[in-house]
Amino acid sequence: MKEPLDGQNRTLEEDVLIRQAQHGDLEAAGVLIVRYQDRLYNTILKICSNPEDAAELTQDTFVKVLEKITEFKGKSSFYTWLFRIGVNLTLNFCKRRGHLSMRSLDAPVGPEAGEASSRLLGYLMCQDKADPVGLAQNKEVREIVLKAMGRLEEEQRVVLVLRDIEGLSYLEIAEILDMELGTVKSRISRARAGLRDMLEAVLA
Amino acid sequence: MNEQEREQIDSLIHGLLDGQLNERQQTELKRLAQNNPSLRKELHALYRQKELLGALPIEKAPEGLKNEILLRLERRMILNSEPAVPSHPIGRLRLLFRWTAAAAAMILLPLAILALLVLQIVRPPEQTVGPLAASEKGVSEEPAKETTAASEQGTVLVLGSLTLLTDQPIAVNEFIKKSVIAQKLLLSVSSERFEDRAMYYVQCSQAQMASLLKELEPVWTMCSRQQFVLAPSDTSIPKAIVVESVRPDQMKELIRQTNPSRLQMVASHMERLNQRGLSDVSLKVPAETADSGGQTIPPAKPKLAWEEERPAGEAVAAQGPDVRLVIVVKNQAEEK
Repeated sequence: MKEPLDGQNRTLEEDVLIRQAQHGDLEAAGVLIVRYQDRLYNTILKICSNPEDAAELTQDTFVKVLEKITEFKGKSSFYTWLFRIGVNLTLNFCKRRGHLSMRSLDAPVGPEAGEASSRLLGYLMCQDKADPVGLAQNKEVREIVLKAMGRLEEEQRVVLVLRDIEGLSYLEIAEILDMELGTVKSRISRARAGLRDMLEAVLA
Repeated sequence: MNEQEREQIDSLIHGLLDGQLNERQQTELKRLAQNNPSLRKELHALYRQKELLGALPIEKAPEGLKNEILLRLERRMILNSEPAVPSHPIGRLRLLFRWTAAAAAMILLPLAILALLVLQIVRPPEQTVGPLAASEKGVSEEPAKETTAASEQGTVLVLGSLTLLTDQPIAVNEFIKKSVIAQKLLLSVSSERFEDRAMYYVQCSQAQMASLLKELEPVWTMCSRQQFVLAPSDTSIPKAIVVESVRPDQMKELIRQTNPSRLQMVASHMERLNQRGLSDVSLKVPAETADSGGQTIPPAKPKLAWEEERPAGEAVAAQGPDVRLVIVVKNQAEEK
């Protein structure tokens, strides 16, 4: 279970770290990086689908955030601010890159992937009582799910990652993507339905 | 089912998945699902899909990501010598220093003119100086003789420059930056960065300078060369005095000097000592020595209050006259 990281849960310690980083303390900046690097990298990776690009974009995000940290006034949580910059950098990168990552989606599947497909299909069709945590540990299952996600429109993939993988609230997503709450809700609905269709197509 | 009904059902389904439905909406969705197997199937599939996405393990960031980020930040700090708007706090110091100086000048200049005018108006007529007045004047002038040349003239004593040659410029610059922050001297230091060196212009009280240099002592071990230079001035020093391999205790002795002539003499003495490699020789300079101009050099002051030992990292209050020192951190790789 991912820990909630919204503004209300920001600790005094984090406020102190941010203030120290604002005064040029690189050690404090290092603590903030370690605290959020996995969550940010994970989110960026799920959006852009490439580990090297995700690592580079995570670095770019932290460098940008720490260079502009004196502009952070604490109106939103640091986490939301960080994600706003990270997600925007990633979306801009994806737009420039185009849809290169889609090429591998139709790659032939081996016998292991075939078995994983059956398990996943059985799970989604409610034909077995598979534990989602156990299923998600399976590498082939993960690859199928991520490939299906990769076929979604970027704007749908982003909200799906932020809501269903990262567990952010509608409000936080609206703040990160700078959009209306209603738009966030409808986009999440479309993204979930879209992923279901993609999975059916992949698993068929 | 028309489009509007479909949208309402979608809203209920995703509201349920996100725990956003009230009791009435939940009952309504339950009723709809009981009468519609296709809807029931869709609801279950979407619920399981959401559960699966939430269970995907978090991918760890690559090893060493933090160090990469910090290195990139440090590199930018050093290489971005003069950005249009310095983005880093240290870079911003320079602008802040300029803005503060400009603002202070704008405020003080009209005040000084006004004060001069007021003084002209209210100044009493000059009186003949009698014996009493003479003695009073004598008494009042006595402490002034004790004050230093620098403070008498209201000028800042320029100590010179300390050049540190190192193959770890990032670490040394970072250390200096931290020391400046620890000593609360952010407003007393401006910095410039070039490809091969970083320069720190420090102007603060003697006490603060001594404390900063004490804080910087560990930097000596990171540097292959430490050189103090007292540049030639138009009057007193015909050529630069270069103290090679200057030590922290020697820097402390230089900072103690409040008289330019005395500073010059002490620096010359150190220049000779260090040239001969007499590192253990006492720094004591004869108290009464004639300088080149034939004048008597006042003796160095006894240990001052601000010179009491303090733990490193503790900031000190401004005491003693202002002194100025330029610290230059040179990259050894560029030097070659």
